[in-house]
Amino acid sequence: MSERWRRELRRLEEATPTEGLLERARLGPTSTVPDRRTASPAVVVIVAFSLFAAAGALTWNAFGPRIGGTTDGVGSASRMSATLHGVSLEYPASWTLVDLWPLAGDIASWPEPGSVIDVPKDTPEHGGLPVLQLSNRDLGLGSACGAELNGGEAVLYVAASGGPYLIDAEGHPRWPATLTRADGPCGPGWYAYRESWLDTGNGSGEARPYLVYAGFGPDVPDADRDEVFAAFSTLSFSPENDFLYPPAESSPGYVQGTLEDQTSDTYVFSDVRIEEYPYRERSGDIRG
Amino acid sequence: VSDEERDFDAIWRDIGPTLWRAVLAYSGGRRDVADDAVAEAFARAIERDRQIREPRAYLYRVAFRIAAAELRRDGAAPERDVPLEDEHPLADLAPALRRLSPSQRAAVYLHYVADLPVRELASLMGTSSAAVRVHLMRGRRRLAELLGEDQPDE
Repeated sequence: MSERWRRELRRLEEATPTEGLLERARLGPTSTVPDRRTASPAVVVIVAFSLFAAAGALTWNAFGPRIGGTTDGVGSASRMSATLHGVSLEYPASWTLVDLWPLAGDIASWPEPGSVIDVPKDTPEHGGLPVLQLSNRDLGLGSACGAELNGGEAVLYVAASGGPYLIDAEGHPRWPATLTRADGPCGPGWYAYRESWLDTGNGSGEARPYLVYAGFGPDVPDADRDEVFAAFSTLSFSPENDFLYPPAESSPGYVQGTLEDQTSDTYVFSDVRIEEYPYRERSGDIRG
Repeated sequence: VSDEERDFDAIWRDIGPTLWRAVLAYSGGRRDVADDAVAEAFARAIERDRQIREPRAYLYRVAFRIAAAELRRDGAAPERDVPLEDEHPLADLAPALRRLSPSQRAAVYLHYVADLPVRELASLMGTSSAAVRVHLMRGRRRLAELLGEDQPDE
C-alpha cells in the first residue's frame, strides 16, 4: 500500500469508539428516525403536513416547485444519476424519482423478515413489483402504473416481475427489450421487457426479468417525452441482493440522486424520509 | 433464529468498532454522529432481538440510515468543515473525506481498510455490488486527487 490516500485511510483504525456505547444502547432506542415503514399513511400525512407547515415560507419556497409539479426538465443543464434496488438510470435534475419498492410489499410476500421474495402468482395484474418511478411532475409516492396520466405528465416506471406473465403462450417475451407502444398491465403506453442475469456463483445464475413502462399524459411536451426515452436508454439493472428482500429497513420516499460528476448514491443515502419532505398523495386513480 | 436472546456483547466485539468507524467515515469524521447512530442501531437491535434474522446487516443498515438522517437534519454538506483537534488521527484525512459522498466514504473504508469484499459490503450497505464498485472507483479517484497523488491503476 504505497498510495498516500490508502495510508491516510488506514488512520481511521486509530479512531476508537466512545466508551459505553453498548451500555447506552441497552437503555433503549431514543431516536425518532424510523428504521422501517411503521407509520400508517394517515399518520405520515399528518406528520408531513405538520413539518411542512412548521417549516415556514422559506421551506415552502424551497420545496414548492417539487410539490406543485411545475418543474420543467427540458433543457436542464444538470442531470442526476441514481441506483435504486439495483436499477441505475440518469435523469434531469428537476425530475422526481420515487422509491416504490415498499409498495411491492403490498403485493408480494415474504415468508419471514430477511427472507427472499416470494412473488405471488397474481402479480401480473399489478404490473410487476414496483421498484421505482421517474416523472417530470411530482406524482407523490403512489405508483402511476394503471393510473390515468393527466396533462403533460410523463412517467417511467420500473417493476421487478415474476416473469411468467410477460411470456406469451409460445414462451416468447411479450414485449421487446426496447420501449414499444402497447396496451399492457399499466395501461396504454410503452413497454419494454428485459432480463438481467443474477450470478449465483459456481457458474450458475438466474434470470431476473423486469418491466419498464413509459406513460404520458395527452399534452406531454415532446421534450419531456424525449427525456423519458433518454432515461430509459441509460437504464440498467443489476439485480443483486436487496431487491429480493422486503422493505424491512426502508421506507417509501423521494430519491436524491447526485450530480453526474460526483457519484450515484443509493438506497441508504437516498432513503429520504417522507416525514422530512412535504408531499401529496394523489387521490383516486393511483393504485399501489 | 433460536428462542435464546442474542449475545450483544459478542456482536459488539465482532462488529461494533468496525461499524462505528464506518459510520465515522460515512459522516466525514463526525464522532457525535457515529456515536448516536451506532448506539441507536444497537438499541433497536437489542429491543427487537429475535425479530431480526441477520443482526449484522440490520445494524449496518440502521446505523447508516440514522447517520444519514442526522447529517440531513444538520444540513451537513460535503464542504462542511467540522474542526478536529490537531492530534486527531483524522486531522489530515477528514477534510479530504468530506469532499466525497457519504457512501463513497463508507465504501472506501469498509473495502480498503476493513477488507470487506464488494458483495458483502453491498449487502451491508443495502445496495448493489455495481453501485459499490462505482463508489469505490470514484472514492479512491477523488481521494488520490485530493491528496495530490496519481490515480491508482486499480
